[in-house]
Amino acid sequence: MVRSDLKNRAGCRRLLISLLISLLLVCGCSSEPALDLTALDNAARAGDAKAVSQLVSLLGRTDNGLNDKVYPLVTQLGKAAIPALIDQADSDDRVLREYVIASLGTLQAKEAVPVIVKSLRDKSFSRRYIAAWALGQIGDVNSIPELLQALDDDDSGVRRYATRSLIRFNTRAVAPLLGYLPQAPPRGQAGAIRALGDIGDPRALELLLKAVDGPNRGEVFMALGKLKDPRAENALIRGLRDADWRNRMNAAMALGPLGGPAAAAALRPVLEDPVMVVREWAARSLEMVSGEHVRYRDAKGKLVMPYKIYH
Amino acid sequence: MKPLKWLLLIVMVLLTLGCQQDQGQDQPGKMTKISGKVMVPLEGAYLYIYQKGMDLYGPAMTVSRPTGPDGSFELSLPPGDYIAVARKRKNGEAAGPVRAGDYKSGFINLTAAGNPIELTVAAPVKIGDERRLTSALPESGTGISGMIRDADGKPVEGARIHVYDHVQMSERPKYVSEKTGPDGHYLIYLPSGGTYYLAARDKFGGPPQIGDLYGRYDQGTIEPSAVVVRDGEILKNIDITVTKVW
Repeated sequence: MVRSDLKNRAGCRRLLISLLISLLLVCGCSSEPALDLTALDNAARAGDAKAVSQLVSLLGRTDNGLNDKVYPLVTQLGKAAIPALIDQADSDDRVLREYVIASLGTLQAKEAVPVIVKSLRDKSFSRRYIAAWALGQIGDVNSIPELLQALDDDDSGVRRYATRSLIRFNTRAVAPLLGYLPQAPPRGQAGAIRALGDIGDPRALELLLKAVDGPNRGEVFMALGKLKDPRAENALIRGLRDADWRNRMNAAMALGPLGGPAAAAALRPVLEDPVMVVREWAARSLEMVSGEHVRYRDAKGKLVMPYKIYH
Repeated sequence: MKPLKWLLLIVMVLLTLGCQQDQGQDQPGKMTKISGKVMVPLEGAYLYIYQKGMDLYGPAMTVSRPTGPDGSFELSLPPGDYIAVARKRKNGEAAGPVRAGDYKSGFINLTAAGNPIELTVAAPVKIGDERRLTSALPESGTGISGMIRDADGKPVEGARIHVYDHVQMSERPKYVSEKTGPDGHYLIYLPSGGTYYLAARDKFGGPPQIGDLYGRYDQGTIEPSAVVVRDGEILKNIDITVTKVW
């Protein structure tokens, strides 16, 4: 019996040791070698192309926010990082692709425009907004036609960033936008009108006035207000009688910076509009036009001054 | 059993060494040890260190561990000029707005030059707060609701809606929602209807920084889109997409 117990104990001990060794091997071998980001960054900065490529690959690593730490390192490398970034710009890994395109945009890499345009067109890439954003950062006029097409994209993020990027192009985007506007689908037209409004170029006035009775008239009113051209006054006065309160609000808002005596006369009755926010904007704009403090009735029927929406 | 004990010891040492996470990069220069006590409250306060020029209401450069039962804290800083502030939120979180009833110290100027610095910090209770969280507002029947989504269209957990009444959105938000849950849904009550401008973000305070999740309610224009809420109305489906700030 005693001998048998001893044998069992020895067997158990051997088994336990084997298990522990296995555990040790598993722990030791399963994790990747420790990443020395500083050394990798130093090597990349010293011009080691392999290190640059490795650093760029880490833009897809989300563990412990690693890619957020790597992103500034890559962008600080400047032009040296661009070839490695372009190599990975059509990666199947959507996170890596997003970070890579963001880096190319931040670095304003003109040579990356074709690969970014490819991403903008690639409907299987869920983060295409980044391509629209990056094209605006790079500012290559050759990408304007792609951004115009993106104004009618099914993805609202793509549409937003395409609009913003076209605004960044400023006056360089005006002629292409004016060329696009007449034949654009309604959703694309709305984006183009917003962009033209923010750019504020007087060349846009004529086409905007032609769109003043169309489905995007609310957007047109806003854009005309940003152009600050008094020739839009009559169209905006007509807008104060629009059936949709949002359009009346936009027309009232737009008259403030450009209106004259006719606008003042048209805005006074709007102080009795059934919708409070329309009355509020009428009062605000009337003050801008006339220079007098104007009160409106708030939701409780009390006469109040509009607060200053701008500091 | 001796070999077994040795083996266990070796395994534990190796596991401890092997499983340590990267704790960030060492800063160059001699580190200055900052230690001390937060007198009120004693336990669970954090010391926030800002570099000069940083937004003192935004994310700090570094944050201490929560103070122990005796209020003590300790951290190390590379040489430089800093501003420290102690804060303890009633909800126990290390980030987010400091509301009435939370504790906060004044701002303390520090110069780290290598010699240890011992601080005694008083953090009295904060009284009053301009910003109001959803929970601090009565359920007025007026408000805004919607979803916060990421670039993939998935709900974002842990983000807040910031509500502004000025179009520049550069001032502190007038109202801030509670953090979204796993479904990304938010509902913020407002004391009255009006014209508001919205942003969603995962951090609180200061301008958005590179790497933050941020999204404005707009259509790509320079100015945000106005959200018009009428008295007694919960305006629904005001969805905002947040993306990284690049």
